[in-house]
Amino acid sequence: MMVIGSKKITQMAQNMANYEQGKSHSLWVDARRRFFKNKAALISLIVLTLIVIFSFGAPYVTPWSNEEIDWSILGSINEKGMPSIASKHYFGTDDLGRDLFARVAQGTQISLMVGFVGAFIAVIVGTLYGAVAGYFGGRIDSVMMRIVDILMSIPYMFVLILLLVVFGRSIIMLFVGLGLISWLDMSRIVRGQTMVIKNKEFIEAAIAGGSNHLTIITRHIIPNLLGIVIVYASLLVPLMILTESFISFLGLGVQEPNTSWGALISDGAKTVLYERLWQLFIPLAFFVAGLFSFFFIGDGLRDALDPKDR
Amino acid sequence: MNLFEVKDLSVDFKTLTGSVKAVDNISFNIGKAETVAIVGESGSGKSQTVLAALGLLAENGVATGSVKFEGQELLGLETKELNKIRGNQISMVFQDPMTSLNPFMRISSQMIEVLTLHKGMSKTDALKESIRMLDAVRLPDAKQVITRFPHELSGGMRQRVMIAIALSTEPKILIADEPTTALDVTVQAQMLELFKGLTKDFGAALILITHDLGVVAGIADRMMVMYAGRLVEKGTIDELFYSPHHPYTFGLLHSTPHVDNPEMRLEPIDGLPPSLENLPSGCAFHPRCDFKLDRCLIEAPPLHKSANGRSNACFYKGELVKRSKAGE
Amino acid sequence: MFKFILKRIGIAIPTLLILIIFSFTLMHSAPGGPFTSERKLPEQVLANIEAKYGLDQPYYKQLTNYVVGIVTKGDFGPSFRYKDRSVNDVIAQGFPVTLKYGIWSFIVAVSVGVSLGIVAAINHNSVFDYLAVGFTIGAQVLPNFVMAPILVIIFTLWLGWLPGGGWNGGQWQYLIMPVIALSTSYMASIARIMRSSMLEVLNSNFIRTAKAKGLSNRQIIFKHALKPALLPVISYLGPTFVLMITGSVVIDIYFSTGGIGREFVNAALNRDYSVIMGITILMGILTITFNMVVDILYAWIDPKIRY
Repeated sequence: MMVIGSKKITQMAQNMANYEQGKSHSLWVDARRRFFKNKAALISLIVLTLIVIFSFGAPYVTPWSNEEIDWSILGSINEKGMPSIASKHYFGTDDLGRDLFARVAQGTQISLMVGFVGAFIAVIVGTLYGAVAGYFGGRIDSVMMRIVDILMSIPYMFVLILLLVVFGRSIIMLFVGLGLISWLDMSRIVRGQTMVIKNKEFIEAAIAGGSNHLTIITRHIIPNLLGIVIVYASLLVPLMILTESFISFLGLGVQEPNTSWGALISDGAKTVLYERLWQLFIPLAFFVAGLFSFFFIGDGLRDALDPKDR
Repeated sequence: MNLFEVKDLSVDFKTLTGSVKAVDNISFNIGKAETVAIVGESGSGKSQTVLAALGLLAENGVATGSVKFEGQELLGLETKELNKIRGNQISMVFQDPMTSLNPFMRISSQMIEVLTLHKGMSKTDALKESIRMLDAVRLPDAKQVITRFPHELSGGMRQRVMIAIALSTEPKILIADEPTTALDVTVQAQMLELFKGLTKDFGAALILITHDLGVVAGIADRMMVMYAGRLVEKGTIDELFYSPHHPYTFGLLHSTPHVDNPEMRLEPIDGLPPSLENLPSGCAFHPRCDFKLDRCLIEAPPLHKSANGRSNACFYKGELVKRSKAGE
Repeated sequence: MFKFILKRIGIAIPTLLILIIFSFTLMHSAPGGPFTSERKLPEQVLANIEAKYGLDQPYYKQLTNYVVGIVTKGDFGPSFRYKDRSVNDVIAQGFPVTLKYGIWSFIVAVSVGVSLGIVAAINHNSVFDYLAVGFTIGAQVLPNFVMAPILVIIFTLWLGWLPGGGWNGGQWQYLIMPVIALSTSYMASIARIMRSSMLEVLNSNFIRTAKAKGLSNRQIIFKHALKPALLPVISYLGPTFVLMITGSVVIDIYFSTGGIGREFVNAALNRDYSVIMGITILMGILTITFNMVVDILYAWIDPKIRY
């Protein structure tokens, strides 16, 4: 849905590659200290923790499940379905009389999971692909990167929907599809940094010591990419959530009775003209708070791990 | 009336942690067609002095005091009025020719715009005049060069273009900020020659900012030495080169190689230039000074005129002689 | 320049072919044919239908027929769901609508985004600048599917100024909300990119030279700074275009504008393979062509790119 400010990340990658390798221990300690000094990131971390606690704790607080229909209020949702402590529908109900508190909790779980799993797949594929291209260089590199160029100019959302239609709409397919269309930027950044790292002395030493390519890539190159990968992954999570929300908004994502932030927003959006605004604004509040938290945490991680000011 | 008068000029930069004084209360005059050098290490405030005069300070910089050109106050002058002077009466050539020309515009449009703006020329006349200027700065094949983009030219060629732009409006003052630093040594000499000849031909005064005493010796009439934002010594070239009064000038001279005396041993000044955010107490030079007195640690010496019309800012009045350092 | 354009076209064509082959293969390998999903058809009827659509032919033959159809006649084949409609009919009906509000959204996003970025950069650290930065940060969580219902709440439910959906031949009342919903987040991205690149350019040495020349602020900005500052925005136009095309689906669904997005989602829900494939390929053609134009534009503006 959005393009990550790739310039700053590239800048950071350069700074990291130029940073003294030997000091990596202090780098991490230092980064943690810097991260916890960043107020926006720290608050975001707290907000996110609260959201996670809510999503897993909610079922213990409410008597309603996410699928159960409250027959007593059907037909008068505008009056009886509003958020209220008395009816035990703390967030009100949705259009079908299902408890929104339970549904938001469940949707939050799904959205977070999609975010993390999708980002994880994208990071694994992108890192390996980029590391291989950057490490071998030459013709392998140019062919691999040309493929990335080509894939980048394809309207990926349509392809993702195509994938979902062909292989059936399941959560697993959504994870895989999201991951598979999102690794391209990652691979470019990793490739660039690998090319820098590969020329460092400790890699030459490893080659001279007789290590094979696979060992060098997995033992020496990838560990040195960790900082940039973490930062990029943290920014990918909200993008995955946004993409999933988009697809769920169209009704092509998660399937009933499961839900997600996007599906809940979609349901709420359909009823705004009936003035059931809580059905839109409550999930939207979680969506906004969650995304902002991820963005600020990602930003904080980048500032903390970027060695430029040291 | 002097052509250019600087009085009590200070430049401060506001930073997140407070305020930094880049130029501290300096005064000097420049007469018609005179060549004056301002010498100092990086961070001594020599560039900021002239940038302040032309209203070119960075966003967070503030200049106080007075800078007068032909009697007109430049500080606080409205941009519109200032624009009638800069680029027209006072031109400037910057340190880095690689980045000082607009990479997205052809040389021709970058030259023509000053002539149409300040001299009211038509575009065709301005183009003809520009080509003539490129010939004057001895750029071969000017008609061809003027149609190119900056990245197609070498560093030396670009600096010649910069000089041609600066002189094309026949300014009364040309300011050159480290004009040769970014260039090859072989090109440097040609460039200095060019400066010397052209300012004479055009009758312009030249303010030359540099850290390189070798550059100064060749072309300047007078020189001013700056250290940590303050003027520490000024006088004619001969006076300062043959009998420096300030230990810093003395140190600079002994750390510069001389063509005429290659046997001389070079002795760099100990230590590093101070950080402006954290200046030493008293005289900013005292931590690096071989001649410091006790009061130098407490009190900053003011710039005072000595009997023969020279000025320097130092409490030490004795003779400056090289001292062999302990352990050598 | 001519060589550069040729080279760029040389990249675009294989990209397009790969997209077509990929989509086709994906469809072809879908578990079960397009007619197997609903109630079971008699063997003979199914065979007849498959023969009619050419599905009994070998894979490569179908693929060649499909590609040749697109390339020579611009024919995306028949719909598998509606007997008397071809994919081209579906596109012809919805595409003009999508194109109309799409172009408007693109114009609004680029023009407002660029101006906002420039004004913010020129007034760096002013109240306006802070507001603009706040907007660009906030808009990160205002994608089209969030903007659309919020606009309806404000302008339809509360103010009653604009109709909550429909198209009505594209009258302006029906155009406003789709355009705002679709353009806001990209406008913010463009403003953010423009602002930071303008700030960077304004701090560069050649702008200091321009000031020292005595040029007015207006001349400095429009003659010296605008072109270099626009370059990052231009390279962002490609992604913006893709994202807007994608976003149009949300607009069509939420505002019932009758554009191509509704058909796409319906086809996805009905497993109408040929329509999904046709629309995907059409969007692919648009995207690839647009990216090519942007690249050429970039090369034309930046004198450092040699063709």
